[in-house]
Amino acid sequence: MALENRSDEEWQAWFEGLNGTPPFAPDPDDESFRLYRQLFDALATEPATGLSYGFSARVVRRIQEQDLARQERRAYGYVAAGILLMIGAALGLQAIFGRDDFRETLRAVFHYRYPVLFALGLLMLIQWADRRLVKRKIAE
Amino acid sequence: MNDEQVLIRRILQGDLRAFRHLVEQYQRLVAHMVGRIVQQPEDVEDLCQEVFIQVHKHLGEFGGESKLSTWIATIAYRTALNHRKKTARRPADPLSEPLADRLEDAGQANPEERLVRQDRQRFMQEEIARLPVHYRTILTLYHLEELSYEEIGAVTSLPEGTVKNYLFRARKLLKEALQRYQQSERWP
Repeated sequence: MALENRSDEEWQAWFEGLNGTPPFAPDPDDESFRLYRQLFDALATEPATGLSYGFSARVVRRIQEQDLARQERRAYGYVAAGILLMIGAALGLQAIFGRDDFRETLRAVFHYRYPVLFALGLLMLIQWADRRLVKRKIAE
Repeated sequence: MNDEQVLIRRILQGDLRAFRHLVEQYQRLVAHMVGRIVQQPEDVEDLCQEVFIQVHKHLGEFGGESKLSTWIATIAYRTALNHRKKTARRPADPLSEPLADRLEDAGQANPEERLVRQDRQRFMQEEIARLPVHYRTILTLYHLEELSYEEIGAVTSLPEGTVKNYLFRARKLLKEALQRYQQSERWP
């Protein structure tokens, strides 16, 4: 068994050393020589990558899409922070000046809640249609 | 500053054309790595995309301690291994074509010789696919990508001695399989 292992080691070293000076001259009829030659030949044969044409363009497009989504998320974050700041500022002003305008405003909004909800829903629908239908069509 | 460093600097400045050039340069390496580790051919392209997205995301962290190809191969190796772990319970698609069926034609003159060679290549690719994942990866990195033992060690986080040992054992297993195959062909 040890002899066989050594022999395999020698053959593998021989084929690896083909670029330099091979340590010994092989017998072309030797079975191990033939098998290792076929094996090294097969191992060096490159399989097709299987990647589709335009792979690199697709990767770049995906990165652009991710960047765009990140920018949009950041923009939405700023808008949300702005709205919260405005509400905070309104509450702060109300506390400073001791007026009840904010509560009055909320009461008025509550009174007209259905038209307000309808307007909000319409606004969201327009935004959604703009994103899903118009912008996608332009991108295509 | 060499070409590679210039390319990296351009990518870090947000030049996507430079990144596309990088993808074209290394897509072969990544596809070979992923293709050898992942058994589902339909997942290979998505995973390759994932690898390059990771490369783009973390390129700023590449310090140049190794070659860029080694660093990219490491990301490909880890991404493919993670995918393999996640999909370990999913059975391989029996209808999917093995990689061997997509081998490039060597363009030999004699049709009979070409058929024999293709047959042997197909058999060898099937045998390679049966080897443990570390053996397959090391064979690919050494024979197809021509990485050194040290570079393979850096990609796989294996000691150099282990890399040599796995490479030797993988080739010995394949040689024995080839021997059995040829004997069975001769005496059916």
